[in-house]
Amino acid sequence: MATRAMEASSSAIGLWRAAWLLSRLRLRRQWNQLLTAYRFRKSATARTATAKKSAGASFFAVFIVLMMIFNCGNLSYRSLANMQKTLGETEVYKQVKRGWLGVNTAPVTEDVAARLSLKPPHGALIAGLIDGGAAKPAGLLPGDVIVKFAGKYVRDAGDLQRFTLATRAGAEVAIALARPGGEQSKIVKLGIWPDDAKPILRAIAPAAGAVLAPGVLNGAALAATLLLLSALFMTLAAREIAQPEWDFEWLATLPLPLPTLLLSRMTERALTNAPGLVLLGAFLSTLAFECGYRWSAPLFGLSLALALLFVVGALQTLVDTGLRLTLAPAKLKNLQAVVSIIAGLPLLLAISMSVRDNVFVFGWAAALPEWATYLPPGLATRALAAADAGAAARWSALMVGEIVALAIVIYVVLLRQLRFGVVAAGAREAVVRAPRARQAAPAPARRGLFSAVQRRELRLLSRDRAFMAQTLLLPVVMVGAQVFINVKSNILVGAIDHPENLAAIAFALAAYTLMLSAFQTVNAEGQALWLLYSVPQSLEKILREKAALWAVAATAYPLLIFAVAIGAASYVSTQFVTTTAVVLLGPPIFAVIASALGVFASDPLAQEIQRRVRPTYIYLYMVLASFYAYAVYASTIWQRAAVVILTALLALALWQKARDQFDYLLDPSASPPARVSAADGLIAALMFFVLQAMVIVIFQLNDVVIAAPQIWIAFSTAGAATYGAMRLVYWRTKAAGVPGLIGADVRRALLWGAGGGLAAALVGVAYLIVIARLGWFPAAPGGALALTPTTMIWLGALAVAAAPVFEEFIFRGLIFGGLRRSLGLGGAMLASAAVFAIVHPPTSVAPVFVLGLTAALVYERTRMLAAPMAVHAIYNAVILAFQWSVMQ
Amino acid sequence: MIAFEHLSKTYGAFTAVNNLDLSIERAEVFGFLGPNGAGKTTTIRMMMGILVPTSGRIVIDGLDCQRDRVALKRQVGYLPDNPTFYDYLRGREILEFVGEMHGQSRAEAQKRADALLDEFALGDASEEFAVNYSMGMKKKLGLACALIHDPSVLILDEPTNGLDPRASLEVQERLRRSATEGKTIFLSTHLLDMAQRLCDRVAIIDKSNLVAAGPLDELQERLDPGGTLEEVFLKVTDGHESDGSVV
Repeated sequence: MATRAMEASSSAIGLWRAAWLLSRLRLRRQWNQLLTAYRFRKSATARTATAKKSAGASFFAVFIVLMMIFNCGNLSYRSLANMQKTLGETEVYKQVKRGWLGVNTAPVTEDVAARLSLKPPHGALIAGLIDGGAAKPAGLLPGDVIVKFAGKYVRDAGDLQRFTLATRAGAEVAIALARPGGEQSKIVKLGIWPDDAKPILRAIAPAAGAVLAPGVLNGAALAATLLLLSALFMTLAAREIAQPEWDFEWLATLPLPLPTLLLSRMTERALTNAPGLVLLGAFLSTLAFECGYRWSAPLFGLSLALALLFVVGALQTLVDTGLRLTLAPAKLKNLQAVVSIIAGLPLLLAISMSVRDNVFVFGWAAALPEWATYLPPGLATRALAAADAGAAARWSALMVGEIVALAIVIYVVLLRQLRFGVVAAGAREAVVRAPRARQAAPAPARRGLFSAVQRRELRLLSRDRAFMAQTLLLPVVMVGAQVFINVKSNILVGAIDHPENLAAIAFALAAYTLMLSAFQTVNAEGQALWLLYSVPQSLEKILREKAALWAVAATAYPLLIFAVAIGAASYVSTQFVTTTAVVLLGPPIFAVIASALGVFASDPLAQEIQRRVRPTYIYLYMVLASFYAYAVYASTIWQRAAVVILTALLALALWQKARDQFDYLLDPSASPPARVSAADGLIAALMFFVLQAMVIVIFQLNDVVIAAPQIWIAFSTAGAATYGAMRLVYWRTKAAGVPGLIGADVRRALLWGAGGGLAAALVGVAYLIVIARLGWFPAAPGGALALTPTTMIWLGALAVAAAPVFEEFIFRGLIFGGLRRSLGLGGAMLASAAVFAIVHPPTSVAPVFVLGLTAALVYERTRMLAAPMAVHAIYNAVILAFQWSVMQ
Repeated sequence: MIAFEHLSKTYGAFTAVNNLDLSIERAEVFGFLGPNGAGKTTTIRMMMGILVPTSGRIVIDGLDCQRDRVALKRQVGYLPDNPTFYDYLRGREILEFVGEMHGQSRAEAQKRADALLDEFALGDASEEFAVNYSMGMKKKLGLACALIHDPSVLILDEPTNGLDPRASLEVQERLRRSATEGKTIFLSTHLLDMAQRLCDRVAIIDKSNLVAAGPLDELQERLDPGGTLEEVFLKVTDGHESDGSVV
């Protein structure tokens, strides 16, 4: 016996050692996750399984942690301030209410005194009557002079004020007035002096033995409870619980007695609950600070938070062990999905306390039953708010006692659960349904509505509740909660006439759904992506089908919302129709953007779930979505069209870039060769405009008057810089498909150019004539510039030489040429002409669109940039000449 | 039928496949042998267009494995070394999905899936989610996926890995039958007895280089007369440079 005991004690490690080792392992894992989440994927060509830890990544990780702590502290501080205002103060009315006449007075001048024969001049002249005052209903009029107040002689306005304030409100007073018709007397029932009518806020006395008012104590207890609940839900909603692998099965093989293992497991989970520690620790530390602790506040706050998190650790161990022993993995995953939906609610409620001081949660705090403040979170707040150290120690001890009691109960239940050993339900082998009976006749071969990929996707959606909840339900809960907490009035009221807010919410729902579905199309294939490489279908087609499916699914939200709005109002406005159209165009565009960005963001080879999607691209997606929301709020139809067209073109360009990636998706080392793409064109266009603006700003900073030569210089410098930069990049990367200026047959190019230019110019002149007939003649290019000969030369040079060269390179060479790779001739012509047109002023959009179409067609036929440049130059020359000749 | 032309693949400074030249005839069963980490799987993934060759190319039946990736798949069936399947889908559903992706109608895909599930004795497990399968069952399901469109070329990465002896024999039998039907089979393995039983010719690669190629008994005769297969394998893959006598 003795020797066996000896052996046991020498081989088994102690509880604290085990808890420390487990915690260290878990913390190291969390730290590695934090580091890897912010590292770039294909930066290194080496295929090392464990990437090197860089100082930059750890610096960034520390920064993120600090930001989170700061944010939580700030939210806690604001919650407590709101709590103090709503629950810690009361409105008190003054006991003594002084009298008030409700008149504005003016001094009695010599003139007034003479007119009313007041000798010597005395009294208070009524300059005006205040609404709600006592004087008005009593029949006093402006111009009257009050000479006596309750029989007392009034020398001046000062006397009158002293007399009224000395009289109680409600008293009936005789007032003698001097009027042009003679002296009169009126009886006035005095009102309340405004300062006395208003309540004053007075802090409610602290609860017995505490430094906080009873209401605030309740509020803080409620906040701590909500935060503890959210910490618990977050651990239960973690993906870990839904994974078939259970690390406890592995831990149970270590040479530890079960009690040690269970207790160290609870401790480990309490110590490593990072989100819980940040949330609760920040709140309790802030509370400690508000309760008078200074530099020791974080120490007490964190200690109490850790003690409370032990509750979470114990409950988590109980729930996860119990569930794993009884539920099949698929059911566990569904449970996790449900919890992940409700997990955010307590946190949202807690955060809502920091948003406004009249949020409904404070009503709950006021109604919190007393027993609830004697649970561990309530006891923690009581301990911090205790008036003296002794009370604080007693409350803390009670809290620790409760936690230990709870832990003992849980420990006993766990021992009972594990009495047959640590084996998960064995449900991995469970047959989900009986083998299907052989069908006598196979299903008729019909062309379904959905493709094979779409049917598979729908099947996955119907089976994977986590996926369904995340993609379809979570957006509703998130947006619904936002509306509930932040928007006071019903959003549907007036939505037909001012649909912007409703439309923005509808679009946000769709965009959010797409972020969780279309964005994940590559990521969702994950390790099974090889299957798609073994079938004779291009990955582009497969992803396009998935994007189409999600676009339809995401459109359902706006459709539903708009249907409800129309149903509620039972009429429709023009504004409503155009806004609805903008929103409904969003899902298809953003399904493409999300799928394309998802391709860049996903690393299907990554083993860790956290590394499969790079967050940078999710942020980029959100930025683009908020840019689109600008179209919802924009006032003119042109702005809306411009945003929609630009976003659609961006979607096409991104899709093209993503398509280039497909052959390289599973290759960790290779990347696609450089090719000219529409995305390059968009970047070049942006660079061109930004550089122009920068040159103009430089001129303005140097006090140069902006005239035709300056515009020409800005345009040409920006154009040349963009042109040179793009050419340099293409030359350095040996890109394929770079547009050439001239080819073998220059004569052909010039003929096409001349023909196209004259045709476009004809349309342009016809447009100008029609516009002039309608009495709406657009200003000549250059706007307010006076048409001197110098100006005309500079503007002519700009229109005929500079603009054709630079704009054709960008809009035809890069954008049209790039789009042509993934679109047919018609589509590429329309898209490139549309974007070319919207960067011009609204009055010239129509003819410029025709010019864009013509130039694109000419470029397509000749494949020499010189040709569309000639079209552009001829068009500009003819239009300018026509405008100037007509104007003179 | 299959031609490797100066095929190389490097990951940064590491060369996984170095200047591989090989040619495989129609209706041939070709074994690709080598120790772990020699570059077998990398080569097969390049055949499937999953990895991009750093230089050189692979041509199967006149189609470039990278450029004509999509068209090629009509004629090729592929089994990866470690087949992973979608969560929440049953074996039968995955098989039917692959059939439909190959352009079969639903009825046709169902019929072929039923036949293959029967053939690989997966009928009982076909209504179970495929992620729950054991390694051997996954391998059999992967093989069924590779065969569902009746391809003329089979590219199999360790086809019998993880199978029990009986299943392994059944699979080998099935492959032999496919070979007699005129299919070209390219399989990687490190099971020498299987290679000997099944393959017309083999290539042995070691540390990303081709060290020997030819019919296995011929190699044995030439490299280590009288020695066992293991001894031949150990001799050519023990880290020495190849003697250059590639057949």
